[in-house]
Amino acid sequence: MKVLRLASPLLAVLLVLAVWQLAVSVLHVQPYVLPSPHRTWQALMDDWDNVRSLAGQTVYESVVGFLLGTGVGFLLAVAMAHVPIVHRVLYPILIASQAVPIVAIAAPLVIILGYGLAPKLVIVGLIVFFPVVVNVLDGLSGIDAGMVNLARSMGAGATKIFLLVRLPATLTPLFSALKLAAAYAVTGAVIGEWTASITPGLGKDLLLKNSRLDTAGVYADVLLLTAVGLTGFLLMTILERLSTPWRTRGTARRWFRPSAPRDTKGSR
Amino acid sequence: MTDNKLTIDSVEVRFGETLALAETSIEVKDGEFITLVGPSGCGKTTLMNVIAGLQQPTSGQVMMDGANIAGKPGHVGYMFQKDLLIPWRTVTGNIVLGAALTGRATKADRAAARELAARYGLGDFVDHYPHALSGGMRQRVALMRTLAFHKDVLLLDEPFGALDAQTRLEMQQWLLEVWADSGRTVLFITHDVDEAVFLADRVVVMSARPGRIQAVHEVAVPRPRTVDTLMTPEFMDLKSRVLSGLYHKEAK
Repeated sequence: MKVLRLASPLLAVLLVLAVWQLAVSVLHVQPYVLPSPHRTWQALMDDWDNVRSLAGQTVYESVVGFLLGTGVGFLLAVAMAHVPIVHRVLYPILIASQAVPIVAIAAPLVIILGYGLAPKLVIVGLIVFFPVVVNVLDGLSGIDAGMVNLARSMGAGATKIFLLVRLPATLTPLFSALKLAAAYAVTGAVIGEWTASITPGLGKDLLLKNSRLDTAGVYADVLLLTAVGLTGFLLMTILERLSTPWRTRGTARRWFRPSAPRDTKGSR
Repeated sequence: MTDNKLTIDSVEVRFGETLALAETSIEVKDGEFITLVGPSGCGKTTLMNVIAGLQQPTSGQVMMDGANIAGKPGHVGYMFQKDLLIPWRTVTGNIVLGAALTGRATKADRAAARELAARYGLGDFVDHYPHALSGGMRQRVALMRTLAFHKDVLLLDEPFGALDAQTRLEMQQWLLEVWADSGRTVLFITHDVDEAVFLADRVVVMSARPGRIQAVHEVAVPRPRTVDTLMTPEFMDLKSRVLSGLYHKEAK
């Protein structure tokens, strides 16, 4: 069972590769239109040193932008949940910010922030912060009022109630958002590089190869970008499992049992 | 002075124009078990909220050990119909919630919580998360959390209302056992007359709109009470008196 569960994503990847290969060889597609998986892999290997260092740049932009965007998003959500006026003022602005096409504001961002790292971080941040705000806000407002009342009846102060009751309740929705954001962040970095960059990066490299009709190279870059996005998603999934153990486990992990006099019986 | 633990003295609550709870006075003796029965909207929960400090009374006071605690939280243990266990805390973590919220849950608190869980049959579940427990077990944990808050007076607001009949009967007997062990003073809200009579030293019957005390019945049924108690003539007699009181008032 477990083997099957772990193997199934691998099977899915193999299936995609098989369809891809089949399409290329059965339909006799020209390599400059659609290179075969093998050619793509070859292109990736041939250009590995170059592509790897470019990927490092793109990963850097994605990660820093991700941290900034999600961090700001989280703080905004907390502020909005606790101060009604902040909520009323900010919410329409946040919605409007999502209606603005990111590509369209990339150009003015360059004018304001220059061609360096800053506009890319802003673009990544703009893309990732919204799901965080919405989800964390939902988490904070969805808390059982009874739980807060219980805490109040025990004489707890607002800070303790926030730390012990409200904040942990945001973890589940927060991670839903972080998983999305991890995948979006790479997209954001690529858009940033396309519109606002003279510095190298995978997105920039992709454009360059495209203009040279190096289609296999383009696909190689896409493959790498996908891998980066997937890695981010997986990292978030692992982090989620570790920080919200009550969602997937019946009992607390052994190392998270303060004062437990050794384990009695194993369970689940 | 008297041996009263808790004195509810002319407490009245209005929400704007609406009189939610008409002037109400109850004197509760130390270690007494009092049940409040009445239809929904009779202000039972409002009264509990005043005692627990979640609601300021419009007038009147609640005296406990010589101090007015009306509208001041942190003086009594309060348990609700929903167990309100915190999903990300284990059974132990939930039991020590009071200590964690008002200061720090120490090693001793946790050890005491484990002991409490073990004494009342949840020893194998101390590291479980609430979602892995049954409804009855969850309510047990909720009561242990209330006990571990170390307050002399416990307010229980329909704690077994959401349980099935069989579990409820088990829980009632268990509660009596815990009450006998702990010597706490209990105010217990219910709309189930059987439950009210079975548990109480005194049954306070309330009527609705506005909420007010309609009658107080002494329960002379001897303890310890078991399932058989439910069939004794004294029990039946008192039950019918409480029921008819409730019925008459509502019919009006």
